[in-house]
Amino acid sequence: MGFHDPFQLFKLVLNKAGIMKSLLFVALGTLFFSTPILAQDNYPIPNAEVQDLEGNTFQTESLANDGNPMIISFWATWCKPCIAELSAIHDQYEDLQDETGLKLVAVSVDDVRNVAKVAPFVYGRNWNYEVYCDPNGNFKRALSVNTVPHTFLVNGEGQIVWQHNSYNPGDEEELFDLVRKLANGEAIKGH
Amino acid sequence: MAFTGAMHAQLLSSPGQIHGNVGIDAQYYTNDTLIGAPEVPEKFRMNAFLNLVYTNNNFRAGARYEAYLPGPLLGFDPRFEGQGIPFRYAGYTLGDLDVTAGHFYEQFGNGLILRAYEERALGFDNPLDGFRAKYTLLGGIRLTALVGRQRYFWEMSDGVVKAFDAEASLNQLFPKKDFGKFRLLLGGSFVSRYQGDQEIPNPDDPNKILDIPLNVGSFAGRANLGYGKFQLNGEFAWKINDPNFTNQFIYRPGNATYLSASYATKGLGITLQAKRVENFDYRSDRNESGNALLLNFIPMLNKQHTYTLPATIYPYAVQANGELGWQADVNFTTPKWFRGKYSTLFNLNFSMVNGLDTTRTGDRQGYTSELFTPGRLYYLDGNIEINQKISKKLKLNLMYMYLWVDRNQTQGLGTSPREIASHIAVADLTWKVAKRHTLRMELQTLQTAQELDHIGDRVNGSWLMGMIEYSLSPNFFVSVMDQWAYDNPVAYFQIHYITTTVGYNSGATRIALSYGRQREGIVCIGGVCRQVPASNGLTLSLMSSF
Repeated sequence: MGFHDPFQLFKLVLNKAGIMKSLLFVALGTLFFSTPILAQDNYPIPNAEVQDLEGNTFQTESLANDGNPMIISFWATWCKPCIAELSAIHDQYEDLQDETGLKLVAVSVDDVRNVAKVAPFVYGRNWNYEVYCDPNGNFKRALSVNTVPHTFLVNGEGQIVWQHNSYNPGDEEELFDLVRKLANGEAIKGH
Repeated sequence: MAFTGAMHAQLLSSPGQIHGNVGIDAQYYTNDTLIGAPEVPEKFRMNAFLNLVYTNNNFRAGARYEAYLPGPLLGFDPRFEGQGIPFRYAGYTLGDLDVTAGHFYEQFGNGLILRAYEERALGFDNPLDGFRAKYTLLGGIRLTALVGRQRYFWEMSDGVVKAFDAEASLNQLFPKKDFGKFRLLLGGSFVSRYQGDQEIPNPDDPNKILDIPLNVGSFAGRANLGYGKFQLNGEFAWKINDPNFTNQFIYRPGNATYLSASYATKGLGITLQAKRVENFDYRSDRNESGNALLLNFIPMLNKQHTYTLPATIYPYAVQANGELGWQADVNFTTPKWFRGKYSTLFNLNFSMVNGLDTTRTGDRQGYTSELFTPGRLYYLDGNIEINQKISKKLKLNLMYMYLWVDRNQTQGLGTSPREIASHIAVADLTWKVAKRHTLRMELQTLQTAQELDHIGDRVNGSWLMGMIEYSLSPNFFVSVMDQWAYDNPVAYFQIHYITTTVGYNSGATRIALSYGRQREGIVCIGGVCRQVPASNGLTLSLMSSF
């Protein structure tokens, strides 16, 4: 590592500029001076507080699918492309589940205006996804999601291996191909 | 220091992770007085940001650099002009304790008394800068305490916010006890704003100065009750007297009530919601208005429309100082035995918003109000949407909507009623031409009578809208959209608003280039929705996450 003694630097900056600036400095400094920590192709699901459909708090680090592939899809009830994507996946979801053991986790970023509608929306469409609500954007920020739809693919070891922003009709085909690759134990080149 | 020691150990124990995202929206403006686009002397403007998030075991730190150069895009608050790091934080989680120093977003319950959040596309960012601690007790009681000042463009709010929230989940508190289908969550919160004294002349007697409360406290209690497929959620909030700019410095206390009931089962979902708000504009500065320094969130209870005409011609804005509203929403899928191969999806939605029935008192109390009697009608929206897959290659969405608005009231244009009734119809067809090749077409119309007493208005009379979008999955799309004010009483305002967009998607990166006229409102093209201001020119949009 090019950044040899973060502790000493930390203390120095702490004395001069206060704790906040120093913490930031360490984080940014580490980014610029040490290559190993740069964004990696495969990385674990970060932890954040979300809610299940009954309003209970849920920690995202517990997301898992018994060694099978998992899709994490950020969506909202007001987002037409998101609904188009989740509906397109829904059409083939049961077959894919049988084939690959896939699980889809749908994370709604709806705020208070629509959050009460999420469960009736999901049930009304017969979607059998695992659904969470992220009204405060905790999970969204932890995964650096800009806009919805934004889709992540997680391998059997719980590592994020691929992500995609936006949805155009037909995009689900590429996603299905990647899910099949993961289920067959093939590696995926991440973005 | 134990804290620095712990951090030292963590930094050396493993390298950690850096992730983040970037967003750039830049526009080259061309003059277009016909559509009423304001002149931009610098021709070019840009909104850009870079977020960095560093995580290492239980430690996290992050920062966001923002630049609005030479100034923010049209439609964003000009006070954003400049560049810098308005958001930075560090924090860690240790067992049941979670601490954040610096900037953070937060929401208590339904947000009636506290919601610090960001809505980037709207140019809305009001995080708190200070300290926050969260602690989970006995696995089911969550305590949150915070102190901070709110972001105010490139500065901080004058007021300091202190807040506390407690929430208990019966089912998480006693995980071994069998409650059957019964679920219960209870919560309570307290928020206080401290702001120094100032001399505000009494509007009733300019020789006197108002006696202003320096600490403005608010309280809220909530319950979330579930039984099987039923869910009931309610919150009541109360605020002490808070004379401020938006309520014209009256002493009347404020209150807000939010209720929601839902039922969800396979193929059917029903939501009923109601709210009543009175004098509940709550900010970290008593002198602010608009979108600046809002401390709470009053949800709109109507359908969040996304088709262009219903979403943008007569939009609705919440009246935080007095509103009575309710909504019913039903989602229903026809069972397979009924329709055969492809089921039909129905969404029925009805919402209505009234003002409060108030009587002026003539003193600094402002007014008295009736609890349940609705006042003037502000907004009424009844709509039905049908989604039908026709074949393997064709999908059709149809929507009809009846919309009634008091345009002055809902858009803050004035206090006298300006009533508009309209009928809106939308057809949206997706045609899968071949594998990965898709064509999508939208046709929309809004039918309404011309407002002959507002002859100079560009939004006046009926509209037609057409859109065609071709996408080559997974990378390319191109679209052309035309909104036509064909019925405007002034002939030269019968404008075609034409926009062409080409885009490229790859992984978590998206680049789009559009050219043409944009009306203000939500525009969804090529798979993403965002708020766009009224303008003409060339727009480049780049988004990427890593």
